[in-house]
Amino acid sequence: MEVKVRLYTVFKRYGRGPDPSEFCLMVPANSTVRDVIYELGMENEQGIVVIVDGLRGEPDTPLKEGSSVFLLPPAMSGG
Amino acid sequence: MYAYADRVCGVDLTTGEVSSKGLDRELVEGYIGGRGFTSKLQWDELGPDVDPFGPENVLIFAVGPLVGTAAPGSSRYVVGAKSPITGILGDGSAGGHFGPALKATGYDMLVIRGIAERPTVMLVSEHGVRLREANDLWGADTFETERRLRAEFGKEARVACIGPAGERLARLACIVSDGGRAVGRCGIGAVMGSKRLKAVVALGSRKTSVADPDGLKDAASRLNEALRSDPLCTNVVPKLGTTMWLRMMNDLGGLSTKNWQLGTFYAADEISGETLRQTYLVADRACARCSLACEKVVAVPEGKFKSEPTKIEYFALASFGAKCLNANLASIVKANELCNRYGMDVAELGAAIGFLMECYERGVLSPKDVEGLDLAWGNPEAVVKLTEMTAFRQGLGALISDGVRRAAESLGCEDEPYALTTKKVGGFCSMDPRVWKIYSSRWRTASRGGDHLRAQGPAGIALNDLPLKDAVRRMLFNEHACTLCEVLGVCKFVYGTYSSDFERMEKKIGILGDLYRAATGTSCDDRDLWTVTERLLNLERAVGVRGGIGRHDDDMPRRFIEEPLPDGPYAGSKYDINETYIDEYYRQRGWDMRTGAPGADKLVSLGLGEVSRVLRDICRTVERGA
Repeated sequence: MEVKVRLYTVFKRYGRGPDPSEFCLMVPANSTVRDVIYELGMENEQGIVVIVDGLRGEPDTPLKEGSSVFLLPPAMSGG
Repeated sequence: MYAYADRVCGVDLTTGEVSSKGLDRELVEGYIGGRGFTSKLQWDELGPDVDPFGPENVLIFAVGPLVGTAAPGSSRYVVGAKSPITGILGDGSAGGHFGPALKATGYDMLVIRGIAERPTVMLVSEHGVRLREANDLWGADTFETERRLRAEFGKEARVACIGPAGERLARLACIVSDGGRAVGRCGIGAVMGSKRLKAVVALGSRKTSVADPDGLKDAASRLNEALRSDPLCTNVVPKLGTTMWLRMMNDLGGLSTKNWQLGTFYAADEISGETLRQTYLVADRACARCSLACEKVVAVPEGKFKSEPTKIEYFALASFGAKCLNANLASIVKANELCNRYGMDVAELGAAIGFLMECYERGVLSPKDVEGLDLAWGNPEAVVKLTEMTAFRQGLGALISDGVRRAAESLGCEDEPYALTTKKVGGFCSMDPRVWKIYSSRWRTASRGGDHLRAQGPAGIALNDLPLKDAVRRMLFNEHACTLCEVLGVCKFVYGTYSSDFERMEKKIGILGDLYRAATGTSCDDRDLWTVTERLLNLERAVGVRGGIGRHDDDMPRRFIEEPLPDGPYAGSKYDINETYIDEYYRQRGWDMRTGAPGADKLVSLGLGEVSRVLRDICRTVERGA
């Protein structure tokens, strides 16, 4: 199935395609966020903030066809 | 004295007298420079009775010891004065090129008193200080003023000036240098306007000598290596600067949308930093002594929102965009340009327009009150028109030209949850405290009113998950690190905010200490530097307490406490640490839990015994009155 992934700031280095901040990813059916994290090689990142379909998620959150997965670095500052 | 020009200029604009003297050694040892100097003078000279617009208010330009050296990011200058918005301690700082130019004239500080009879320009050079009439410039915007003064004094000259907003004493007026670098907060531009000082021109070529050039070079190399090894600084900041934050804040559900009624903006992608780069970016630009080039210069090439190239930050996108529910990026760029051109604080004005729109929605303002403007949410024409009207204090623009708090008082709704201010400042950050509970709390304890820039650092949402004690300790570190940057004259974004993680920031702050030691030759260790910043933060709090600030003034605005976020990933969340956060913060600071005043023991330990005696008398008086 296909999910939409959005990565932020320093996580963009794990991105795919022409726009590493936003891209589609094929994952097996019944995948979870953890599968996406492994697929992108982000398994060593600590404390990733996960948003799935606009709700707070976690690595075990299940995905469905067309889900949007936002992965944010936990220590980002801001103004 | 290495790293200092060792000269202070005093100017009395009332009499035209100009004097010069060396730097006070106790001031240097106790407060180092920059914000340390501006705040110490405010404690010494600007008591509660001083009128911010009176001749007795003092406008202080100051640079730190690293300005003019090869230290990375060493471009900052600070301007302090009693704030006409808060009535307490005021200051702002800016990067660009003015700071090093001021240091190159051979002055560390300009202390400006009195009120000029006629509009005046102050030329500061190695030959001294000269005042000239500026009738010809009065009324000119900041872009025009800078162009004309650099044509008159040469391209090497750097200009810090006010525009029409400062001339008209709009309390949200700022000082602008380098075509868009703003000393933005606290209404310092209005103080400059009250003195009829149109501009300060710095023209000099003196080099700043340092004690250990090789040591400075080594520390600078290590700092640059730290920047090169941080993916945030190599891949993200040069492309997006601070505009990188808008999309992230929206997707986390904490973007200040519709005057903080919402946490997400449906059109966030249309006004994001990424979209801005693809549409209106003209150039990436860097401050003096900086390799990051985080300054994004933008312009709208044509159409009704056509604008001249000037700098933009994330805050403009959040303020004129999300806060006003405005999805028109060109209008945001235009409103930002008008702020830079006319000399106004983007943060306070954006908050004020969002507030007005909510007043209109609620019927506090009726159609007949708004002079033909359509203040419906998201109207880009209204955002731009109100910005222009504010600069000239026309109609509704006059209502908001003194900031959110005074506008709300005029409308009789200052206690309502939609009039969001902390210590009378509405332009605090755009990160919702119902999401970033700990990190957003930094604006509650800022010494210059509700302000997020006093304690920047890489911690973000992760701080929510730390035990409160540890989270507050991290916030204290951020406060000290940012204060150290502002006394030394370096950019807190380079040394702090632009760090992928806390460890990287901690390392850079350590190198900053090495830069200071190499530049000045002093032997103080990092613990001593912490003491200097702790002394300064306590003195600044004392200025506030003397001006009537107490614990209740540190409260988070009501909306965040009472109204749960209605949307986004944190829907249902409230700011529920109003008391617990401040209890822990005061405990770690050594401040009185009931009054919020710095404790006597703490003050004495910092060499502030005299301050302690003044505060004790004030607290006694307050108690007798109660």
